[in-house]
Amino acid sequence: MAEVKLFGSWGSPFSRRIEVALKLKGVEYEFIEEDIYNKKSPLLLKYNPVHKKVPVLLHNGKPICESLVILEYIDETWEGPSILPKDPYERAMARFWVKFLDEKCFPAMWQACWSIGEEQEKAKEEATEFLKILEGTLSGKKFFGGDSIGMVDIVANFIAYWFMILQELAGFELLTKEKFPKLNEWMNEYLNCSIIKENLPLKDKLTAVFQARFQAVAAAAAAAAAK
Amino acid sequence: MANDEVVLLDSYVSMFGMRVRIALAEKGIPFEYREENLRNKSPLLLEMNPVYKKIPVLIHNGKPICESLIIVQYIDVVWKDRPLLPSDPYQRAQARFWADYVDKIFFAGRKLWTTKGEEKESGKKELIEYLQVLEGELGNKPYFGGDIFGFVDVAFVPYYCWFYAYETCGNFSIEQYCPKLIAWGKRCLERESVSKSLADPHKVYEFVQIMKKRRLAKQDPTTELDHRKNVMSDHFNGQVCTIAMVSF
Repeated sequence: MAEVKLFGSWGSPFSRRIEVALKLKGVEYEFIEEDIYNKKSPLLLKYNPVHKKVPVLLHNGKPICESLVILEYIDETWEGPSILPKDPYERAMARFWVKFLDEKCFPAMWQACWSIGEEQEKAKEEATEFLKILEGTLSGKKFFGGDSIGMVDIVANFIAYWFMILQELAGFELLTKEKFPKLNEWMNEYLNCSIIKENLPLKDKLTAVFQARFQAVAAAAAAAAAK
Repeated sequence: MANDEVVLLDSYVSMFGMRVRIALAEKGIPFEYREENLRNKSPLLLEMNPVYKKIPVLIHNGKPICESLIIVQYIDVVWKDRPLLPSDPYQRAQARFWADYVDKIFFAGRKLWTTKGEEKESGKKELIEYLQVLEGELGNKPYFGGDIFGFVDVAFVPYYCWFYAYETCGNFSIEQYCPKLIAWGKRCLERESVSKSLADPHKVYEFVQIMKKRRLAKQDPTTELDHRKNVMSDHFNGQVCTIAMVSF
């Protein structure tokens, strides 16, 4: 029985964060693909009864849930490159930006992709505002974590990959090189890291899933408008 | 740490601010408390928290730390006496998980004075549900931290002084659903750090009445943002995006 198991989903940026962290630390793990679109496994529901979500890390039979909690656990449990800075103040700053990404930045960016009309314009404005703030933190740094990737970079995976695919499908471009030169540079460096590029879902597969979702949403909107 | 300068920008009724007050008091850290007028924020607050412009902000030797649980973790590491987080990584992960869960109370509770009718009833139902989960997690332990008053207790106990406001707005009794939580709250109040940090429940209720009047006048944009926080993770967990979510 593997000491470390990860319940995840191939397409989930939250799940991929954990894989990157485990690989950074050189931890061997068994990946259990959850069929989240059809039916969650009894094991997942047993190990995450509160949220019933992936990712869930199982270490020696004990579950840890919530991707940010798991990332900190991995950093504290295994030797290897640090995910969080050692300095308490820098650590607080990293946690601050990670929370900003998950609670403000990504929800706005996500909504910009999936909403329409006035709602979409509003969401795009908000997302732009948040991304500008993020752009500002990259001054003179290759990665959010400095010379090498850290927790903020790991969590920001959505921006560099998932969002770039989504915005193209949604038919707009928010993250232009003109408006966000540093973020664009960061994306190039980031996607060139072997640990990142070897742990991304296949673009075609992800595109197909998002396409299907766009079509379903458009159909539902048309049906609602017809009533 | 004799020459440390510690300033807390805060607001009396804020449960987030109370967390920091309790942590500082538990560790016996002297600090300067500054009450912010949230309708007229000080230049210092705007300078120290330009991203959110919110309290609490801890300013330690001139450097700001924002977000209540991040501040409490910072305090715990810098002032090592009387640790709030357990030393074992697994126990720490559990503590972080539950401290994060606690904030579901905030969004559900707020519906009790920002909405009415069916939405308010569903907010009340949600609130009771979350409280019952927390009651289950507490079990028969004296504190969420076990025998020791710890991180989750610090995160959650400020809500205790908001219970009166929730109960009055929602017309229900929390004790009826969660007797252990009420006993736990009273137990925590026996600690000086808690009793001197928590707001008077009646003052909290007065504040809520004022907010209710203001909210009825206009829609609060932050409510929308908070609601959509989980939409992305829901998508990657198989939840179908309904038209209601998409159009918000």
